Amino acid sequence: MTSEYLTNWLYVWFFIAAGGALVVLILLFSKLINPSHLTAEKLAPYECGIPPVGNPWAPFAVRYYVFGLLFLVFDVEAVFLFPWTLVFRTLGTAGFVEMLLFIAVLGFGLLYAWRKGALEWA
Amino acid sequence: MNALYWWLTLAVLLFCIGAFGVLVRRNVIVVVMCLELMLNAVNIALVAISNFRAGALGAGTLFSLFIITLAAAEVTVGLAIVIANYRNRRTVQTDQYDELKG
Amino acid sequence: MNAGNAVVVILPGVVVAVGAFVVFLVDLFVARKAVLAWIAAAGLITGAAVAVGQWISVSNGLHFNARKPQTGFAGMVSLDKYALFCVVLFAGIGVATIMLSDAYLARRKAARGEFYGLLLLVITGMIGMVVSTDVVAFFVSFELMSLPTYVLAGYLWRDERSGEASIKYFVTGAFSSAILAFGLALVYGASGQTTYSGIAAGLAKLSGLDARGFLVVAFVLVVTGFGFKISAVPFHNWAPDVYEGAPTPVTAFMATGVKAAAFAGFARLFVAAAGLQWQTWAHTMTILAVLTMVVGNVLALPQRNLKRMLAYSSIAHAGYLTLGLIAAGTSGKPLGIAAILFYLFAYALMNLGAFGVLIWIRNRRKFAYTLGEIGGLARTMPWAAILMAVFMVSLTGIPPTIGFWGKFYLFTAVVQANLTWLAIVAVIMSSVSAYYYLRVVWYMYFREAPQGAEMEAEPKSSQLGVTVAVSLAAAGVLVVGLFPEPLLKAAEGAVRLIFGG
Repeated sequence: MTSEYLTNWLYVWFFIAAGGALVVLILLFSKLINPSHLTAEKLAPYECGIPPVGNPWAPFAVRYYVFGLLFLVFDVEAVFLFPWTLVFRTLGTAGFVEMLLFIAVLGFGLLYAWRKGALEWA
Repeated sequence: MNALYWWLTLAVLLFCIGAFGVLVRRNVIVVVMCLELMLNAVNIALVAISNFRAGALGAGTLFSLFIITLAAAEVTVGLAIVIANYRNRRTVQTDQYDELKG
Repeated sequence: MNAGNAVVVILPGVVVAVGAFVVFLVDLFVARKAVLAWIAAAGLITGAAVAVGQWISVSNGLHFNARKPQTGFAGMVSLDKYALFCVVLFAGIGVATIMLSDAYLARRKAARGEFYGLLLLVITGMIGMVVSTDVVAFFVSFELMSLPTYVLAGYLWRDERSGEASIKYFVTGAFSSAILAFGLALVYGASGQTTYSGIAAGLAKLSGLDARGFLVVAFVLVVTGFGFKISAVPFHNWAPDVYEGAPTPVTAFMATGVKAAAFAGFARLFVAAAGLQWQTWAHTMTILAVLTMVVGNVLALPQRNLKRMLAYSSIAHAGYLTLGLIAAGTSGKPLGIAAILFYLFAYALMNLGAFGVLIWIRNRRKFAYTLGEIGGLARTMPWAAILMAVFMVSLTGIPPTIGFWGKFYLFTAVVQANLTWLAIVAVIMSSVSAYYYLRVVWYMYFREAPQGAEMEAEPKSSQLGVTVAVSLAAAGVLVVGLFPEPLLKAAEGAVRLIFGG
């Protein structure tokens, strides 16, 4: 292990320590100088000014998941398009046809989901 | 010691955390998250190797792209199975799936 | 690299994949679902026919150089007899599964289109596993094989047992693929390459204790992933539950097809990429094989549920098959791998047959797959009982059946590798297995039928597929049992080229 390597890491550790210390300092400081008079009005939920209805951890309808899953697959498969664009010229026609096939397969998946009613909100 | 070892250590730690989670947690959703963690550890290892190892071909980066998409497909299939089971039994706790044993 | 040539290399897989898409497409637009089974079978048979054609042309040196495998996609895939042999085997297993499942699915009013489509995608993945000569392609194929299988295991998900089988299979399967991926990543780290030949060359250059340790860890991870997929002990816990809960045709397919692909694919990986590093994984493999044989056979003894019994027996057979890898690794001779191919063929015939008989009974009457329920089967369904007896005798390994020759070649390979003690363990364990296999025959012929085992009136859906598939499997068991030479020659021809690069 070279000493240069360690020195580089030293900066990182120093930064982390300084960041942590800053957070503690600010919180402490505000606690010290802040007058604290809790009233019912102050404890009421802040956002939008109305009390929340129901449990925030209420389960979602399972339908959301179906859309989520479909989106996830189509979204992530697009990752292959990015490296492909970089070498598009060198690959030539064969590469173009291959990518068309790939997209056709994805499109087929979408067609299948559509025809099977996975895209209906029912 | 070089940078590769630090990256591999990170990958191994992440992988072990994920594996531990898969073995210990009882909630299937959390188990799926831990599986993702394991696969991401693999990605870190692959990218680190292809970047730092002398003489390594760039195939590692390519492999990690494939693993990202496979992980997405896996999670999709897995969550679909979880949903199907949830409709039957109203639970995602693995220890309550005890119909089959012997 | 000419893209057209590369497509020729993977043509059987492409044909099967296209078959899958045609099944999905026809399912969308055609109301008569009976046609789907025919389309799926046609896709598989076309794929197998292409493979046979390529085999002939490879043998005669037409179009291809017989001495050198035809590779494609920058060395990621290779066309050779090993892959072609496996393609034909996988397609055969697929066609048999379709024949076994059509009436079963129709009876449960389950959608058939997705079932066959997914089945063909699994087989595409299986073909990919044996065609691959690169760990990236290998892993992608491995996942293509695994993911649809999780769905198939839970295909009847409204039945809680099927759903539970699916979720258990998914969690263990995904866990094992993550482990395998990490192992492959480390192999890549050790060698710096991803093609099998590149890995072999890269590993040969490794030196030093650090590198050796790194490699051991990598191999242990890869072997763990492999062990999960073939349900080797101590990674077997999922198998009995999943085999019991999954729809029976899917169980038959998982026990034969998925296991065969895992063995054939990993054998290629181990031999081509890591054969020279044998001493680093010999111990792991030997412990795995012995544990698997002993635990599988012993735990099969008390099982009263036939699907669970066959699950444990399939664990035991995974143990025998692992012997082939050990023999090949230790001796450096190809007989071990050839014996594996022969045994995979044999195991597919007898296990598809045995599960087929269970499906057959299930289609005709109430049946919870327990041992007591097949009492008196010899009188109620005499033809099914005779065939079941043939499969049980063959699974035990008694001549003149294919099961005997399968074990004979495997154990010969082990003895030739100077591992006689391992062969003795295997022989003892197969005599233990006689108890639970022949008990089935005893129940069918010498026990009374239980109450309420009456036949239902002839069901609406045709039993022809099941009957034909099971009868053909039994015929295969006996014919190859009497004339094993041609199949062994084919298996030996298949491994000659890949062995030693």
